[in-house]
Amino acid sequence: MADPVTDIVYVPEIMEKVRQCFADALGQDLEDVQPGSKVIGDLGAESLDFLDIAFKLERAFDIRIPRGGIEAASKEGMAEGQSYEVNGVLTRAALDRLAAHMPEVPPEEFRDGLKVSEVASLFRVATFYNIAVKLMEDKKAEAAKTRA
Amino acid sequence: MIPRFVFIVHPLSPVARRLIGLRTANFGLFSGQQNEGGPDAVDEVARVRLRLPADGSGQGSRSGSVIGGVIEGVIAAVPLLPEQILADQQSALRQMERAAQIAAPISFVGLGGALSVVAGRGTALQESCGLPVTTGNAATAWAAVTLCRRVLREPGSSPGRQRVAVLGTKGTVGKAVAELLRADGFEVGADPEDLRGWPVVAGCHTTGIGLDPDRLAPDATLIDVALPRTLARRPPPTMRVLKGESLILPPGWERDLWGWALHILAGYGTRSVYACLIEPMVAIAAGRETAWQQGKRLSAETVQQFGAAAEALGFAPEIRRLPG
Repeated sequence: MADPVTDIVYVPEIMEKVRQCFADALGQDLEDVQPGSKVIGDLGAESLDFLDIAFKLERAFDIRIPRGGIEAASKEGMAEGQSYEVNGVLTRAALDRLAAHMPEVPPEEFRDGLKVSEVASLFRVATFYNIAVKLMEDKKAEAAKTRA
Repeated sequence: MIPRFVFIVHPLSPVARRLIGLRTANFGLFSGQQNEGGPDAVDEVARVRLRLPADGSGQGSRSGSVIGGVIEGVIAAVPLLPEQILADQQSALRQMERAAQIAAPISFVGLGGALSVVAGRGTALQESCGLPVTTGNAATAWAAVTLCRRVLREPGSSPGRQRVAVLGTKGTVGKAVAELLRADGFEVGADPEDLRGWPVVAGCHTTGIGLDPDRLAPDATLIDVALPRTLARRPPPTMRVLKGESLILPPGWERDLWGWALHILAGYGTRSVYACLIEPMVAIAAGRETAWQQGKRLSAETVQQFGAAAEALGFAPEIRRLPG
């Protein structure tokens, strides 16, 4: 299953479950929820809906989604002394880090002047697919480490 | 057997959290030493009862057992602060399950505050405990709409001023409120950018938006059902801000000593109650066996049904100003 805009390939069974979580949380028909759908702009999510989406994904994949995970992951990769934001506006370094963490979002959307409060407007359904996959991989790696 | 429901609440501050253990002398909780996440930390804090009007207010299949009778509500509290509930929904769910257990036998569960928006908006709890779970949205929407109608039709309100801006129309409550007011024939603005031309504003965001009062007309009336509240700071004295979800208690409302304490500590006041608390009570009186709302969808028709059942029991929204 490939995203027609980004050409990213998704595991169909996992993407199906992710789409179902969105459809259930937002009261949308499944066919309206596509990997590239903007969670706020296209699917009409409001801030509290993200709680419901996270809860449904946690149960569907037996994972724990940390709050603010995308921001934390972006900050991790930044060089010492680099600022993440100035007066609520993301720095170029932060935009680059975010773009690297969110390949499902077209690069031109990481424009100069983007505010921290606007980052959620970039989220696609595929953003949460990637989070779920990453957390499942981390969990598997942790389990393997414990066994060893 | 007296039909009974549980309404699950949580403290808003660390001080309030310690008070939860008072009723059952749970001093571990009171001293803050007990593990907050443990299921035994859940406590009953109060009981309320509604003695139904003898002329028959109940409707539906179970009305025969309720008319002229009593519905009892057990108020149970989980000792989690809002940020803890939002950060760990699975733990909050376990504690809600425990609260439903300690209140048994019950036929409905109501959720208050942050508990109503986590764990799939009550759906996960409904699955695990097998009981209908209400989130307060139908009651809140009914209270907000009823108050908007009263304010819009106040004496001296010219037809040109029968305009209302509804904030939060992407949310469950805001969407239903806008739809119902539009059906009444009022001019409704859905989240308009410029609010200064709107004499009446309904603040229905599911979270506070920190709105500057200067963005509203100085003589506007704001009917506020958002928590945290809609405005970021104290409004000018010319602006009227009403507690949108506050209801006058009917004559049949009874409570024990702890119930009186609950009314004061929860901020209801002694003669009022927040709409969300009565949702399971009204459901039982109406003979319902399902919740008023499932997930995010709340139809205008459901709000109307709820309103009719609540009014039959004597509940009515009150015009009550928020303290400045």
